Amino acid sequence: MIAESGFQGARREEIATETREIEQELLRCVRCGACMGSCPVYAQMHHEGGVARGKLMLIQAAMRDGARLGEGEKRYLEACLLCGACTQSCPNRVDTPAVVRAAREILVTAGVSGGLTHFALRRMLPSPRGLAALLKIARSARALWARRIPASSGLHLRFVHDLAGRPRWMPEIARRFALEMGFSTRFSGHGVKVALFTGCVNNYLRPSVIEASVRVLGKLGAAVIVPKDQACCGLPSLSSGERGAAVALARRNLEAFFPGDSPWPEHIVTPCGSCAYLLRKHLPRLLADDPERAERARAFGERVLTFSQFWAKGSPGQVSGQPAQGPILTYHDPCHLSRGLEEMATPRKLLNSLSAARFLEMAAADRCCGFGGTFHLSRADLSAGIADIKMTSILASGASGVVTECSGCNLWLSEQLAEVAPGIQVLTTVEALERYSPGGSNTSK
Amino acid sequence: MWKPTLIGALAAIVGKQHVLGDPVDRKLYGYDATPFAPLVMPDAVVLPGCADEIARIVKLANQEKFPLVPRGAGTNLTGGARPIQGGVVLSTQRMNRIIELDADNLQVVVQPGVVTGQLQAFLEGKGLFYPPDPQSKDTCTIGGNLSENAGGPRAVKYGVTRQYVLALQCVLPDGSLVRLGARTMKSVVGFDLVSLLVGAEGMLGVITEATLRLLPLPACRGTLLVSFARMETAGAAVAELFRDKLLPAAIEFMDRATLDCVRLAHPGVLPENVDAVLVVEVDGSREEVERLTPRVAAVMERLGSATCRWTLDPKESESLWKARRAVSPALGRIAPLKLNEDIVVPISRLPEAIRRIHEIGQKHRVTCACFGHIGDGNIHVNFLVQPTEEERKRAELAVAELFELVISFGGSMSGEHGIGTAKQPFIELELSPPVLEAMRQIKRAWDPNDIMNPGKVFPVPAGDRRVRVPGGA
Repeated sequence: MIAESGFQGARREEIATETREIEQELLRCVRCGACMGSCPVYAQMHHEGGVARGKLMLIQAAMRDGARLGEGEKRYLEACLLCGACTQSCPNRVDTPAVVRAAREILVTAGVSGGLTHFALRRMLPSPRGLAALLKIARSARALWARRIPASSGLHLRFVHDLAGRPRWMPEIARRFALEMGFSTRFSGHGVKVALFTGCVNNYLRPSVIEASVRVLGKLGAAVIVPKDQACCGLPSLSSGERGAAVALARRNLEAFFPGDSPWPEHIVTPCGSCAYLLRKHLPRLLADDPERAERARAFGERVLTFSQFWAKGSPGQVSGQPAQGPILTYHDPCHLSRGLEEMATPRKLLNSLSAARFLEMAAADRCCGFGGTFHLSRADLSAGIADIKMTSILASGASGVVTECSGCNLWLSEQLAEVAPGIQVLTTVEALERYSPGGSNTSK
Repeated sequence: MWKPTLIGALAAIVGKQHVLGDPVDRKLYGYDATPFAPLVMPDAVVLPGCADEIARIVKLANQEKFPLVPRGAGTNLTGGARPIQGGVVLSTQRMNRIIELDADNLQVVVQPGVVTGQLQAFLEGKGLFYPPDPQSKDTCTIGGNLSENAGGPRAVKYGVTRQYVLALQCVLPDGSLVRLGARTMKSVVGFDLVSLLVGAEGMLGVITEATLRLLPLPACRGTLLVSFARMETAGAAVAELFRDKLLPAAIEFMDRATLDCVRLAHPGVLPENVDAVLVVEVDGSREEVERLTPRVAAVMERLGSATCRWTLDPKESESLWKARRAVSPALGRIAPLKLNEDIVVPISRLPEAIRRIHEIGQKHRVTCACFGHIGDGNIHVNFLVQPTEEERKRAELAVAELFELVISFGGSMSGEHGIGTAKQPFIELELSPPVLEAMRQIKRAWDPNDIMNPGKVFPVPAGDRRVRVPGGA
C-alpha cells in the first residue's frame, strides 16, 4: 500500500533507491517512543516533533497521502543532529538518520529547502578554490569587525555574520591553509603509503593539526602525502539533503586520492572521525551507480582509517598502566565515529597509552555535543542547550583537557569551553599523542 | 463543539506558543504507541505549564463541550493517549519538575511530566527508591504511570504504581482543582478517591501533582540466570520459591519461541535445548542477598534446572540481564509489528496457559512469543506480524481467543497496559454488566458533559470501527 504511493514534487527516479530503503525503515517504527529517552534534541524541545518517532510519522503520513513535505515538516526535519542515539535505543534499530537525510534530500529536490546555506553547500563546497578565496575575504573582513569589539569585553571571541545573516562566533581563519603548505604529494621512501585527508576545519582553521599529523605519521613509519586537490568530504552536503553536491565532492576526492597515473595509497588517514565516516560509509555508496568509479570508490572506502586507528595498527596490544603524574584528559565520543563507525575503543586505547597524561572517562561521553554540522546554524537555540549538558559533563570530570577525534566537535567544544572554562584545552588525538607521549613513535613496529 | 476560535481562548490561558494548531503539529499528537492504531488528528494541542492553567482549560472544555485527551509521553500501548474523535490533546510534557524531596518522611512531590527513569536516577543518587519500573521508564512520565497504574518486573515484591501514591493534586472533570489523600502514610478520611484516579485512564480528571511514597534503596542485588528443559518445571520452580518463603524482587521468563528469537540475534548468549529461561533478581541488604541468592539457586537446582548461574557483582548481573533486555530488539528482527498483550493468570496455571497460547498461535498461523513477569503471572504474549492486512486480521482473531482463554483460567486480560481503545471490545468478558454499569455511573456523575478522554474503556456499540481499524498511519 505504502510502496505504491510517493512524494509529490520529488523527482522519483533520482531518489528511488533511497526512497525504497526509507520505506522499509518507516515500516519498522512502531512509535513505542523509546527514542525519547535518548534524543538530545527532544530533551531540549519536549515536543513530539523533536524526536525520531514524530519525524518518522510525519514522513510516513506524507508518503501515504502522496503529499508534499512542506515548511511545517521541514521545521522538525531540521531539528535533528543525525547523532544516531535514537537508533541505539530503538528496539527495532530504525535508522532514523538515514531517513532524515533522505527526507532532507526530498525537501531540496522539491524546492522547499534552499537559501544561502544550501547555495553554499551546492556551489561553494564543491569548489575548494572558490571557498578558499571566500574565507580569505572573510578573514580580512573579520579583522575589521574585531577592532570594533572593545578589548575589555572579555569576548575575545570575534563575530562574523553567518550565511543566514546572524552574527556568529568564528574561530581564527588560518593565515596559511594546510593545503598551501607544500606537503609532499608523491610517495617516497619505503614506509606504508598513507594519504592524509585533512577535512575542511583542519585545512582552513587548524592547519597545525595537519602539520602534527604529518610529523606523527612520519614517526610511525609511514610515507605520507597530502593530495593537493582534495576537497570537503561531503558530509555537510549529504546531511543537508544536497546529494548532488556530495556526489561531486566524492568524485573529486576519488580523483585526488586514487589518480590514474600514480600509485594508490594503502591507507587514507584522517584526524577527523566525521570525515572518516563519510569517506568509509558513504563515498562508496555515493559512487556505486557510476560504473567508471564504483570499484575504485569501494577500495577508497575500505582503506579509510582515523588517525587513532592507524596508530593502533602499529601499537602494542596491551597498555602498561597509566602514569602517576600528568594532566588529566577526558574523551568526547563524536557521534559519527562512535555510532557511525562503531569506534569507541581505539581512541581510548591511545589515551590510555600516553606516558605523560592520565585518561579519565566523563559521564555520558557518547552524548552528542550539539554541533551537528549545519544544525548549529539552523537551530542555534537547541544547539546551545545541548552543549550546556556536555559542558557540565566535562567540568564534572575534573579533566584539564578534552580529547576528541572529530574536527566539528573540536571546533564546537572549543567555542563552548572558551566561554565557561577557558583553561580547559581541546585536543585532537594526534595532538594528544604528540604532546603527551614524547616517545610515542616508539610504539611503532 | 470545537471551533477554530477556541485556539485563541486556549492561547489566552497558556500563552500563544503553547497552543499548537497547525496540521503538522496536530499530526504529531495524533498517535501513541498502540499497535495498528490509525493517526487521528486532534483539533489542537495544548501544553500547559501549571495546575491553574489546566483547571481553566478543563472549564473551557466544559463550557464549549470539546473532548480533552490528557497525554504524558504517549507510550501507551492501548490507545489511552490517542485523540479518537478530535478535540484537544493536553500534553503535560512541560510540567516536568521534581517539586520537593522530603527524605525525612520518605516522600517526593512531582509534576506529572517527570520522566519515571529520571526520577528514579535522581532518587537513587540520594539512596532512595521508587520501585515501579515499567519497560518504558526511560521515556514514560509519572502522570501516565498513575493514570494507567503501571507495573513492571519488580511488582513481585514491590507491587505496582498504586501502592506508592499518597496524595494527588488534580483537576476534576468539572474544572475544580482539588487535593486528594494526605501527605501521611495513613489516611482513611472518606472514599479513597486517590485509588479511583489511579488507573482511570484520564477519564476522571487530570493529575497535576503527585506525592509519592519512597523506600530506602536496597544496598545489594543478586541476579540469577536459570534454564529449564521444560516450561512446566520453570513454572513449578516459581511456586516452589514462594513455598520456601523466598520473595525475589523480580522473576522474569522467556519461553522457547522467545529464546529462539534471541539466539538468532545473539548467538552464544543462551543455553541450547531449553524450553524456558528465568532471570531472577534478589535484593536487600548485602547480608540478606548473600544469604538468599544461594538459597534461590538451590531451589532451582533441586527442581531440576538445566543450568543455573548467579552473581552479586553488578557488572556480571548486567550481563545476565542482557538476554532478557535483548528480547524486544530480537523480536523486532523477526517481524516489525507485534500485538503485545499483557495478560495475567494464576501462577500455578502458567505452564498450561503458555502451552494453550501457542496452540492458539498455531491455529491462526501467527508466530507467538511469550515472555515477561512470571513472578506475578503477568505474561507478555506477542503475536509477531508482518505488515500485511491479512496477517494482521489473523493476529486479531488470535487475540480474541487469547482473552477468552485467560478469563477461563481465572485470569485478567490486562495486568499493565489498560483498556483504552484496544481492548474495548473485550472488556465484557471480564466485567459483569452491573460492574460496568457502576463504572459508567461514576463517569456520568463526575463528567456529565463527557469531556475527559471520551470514548475509551467502555465497550462501544457493535459495528463501531474506531477499534483496531486496519491501515494505520
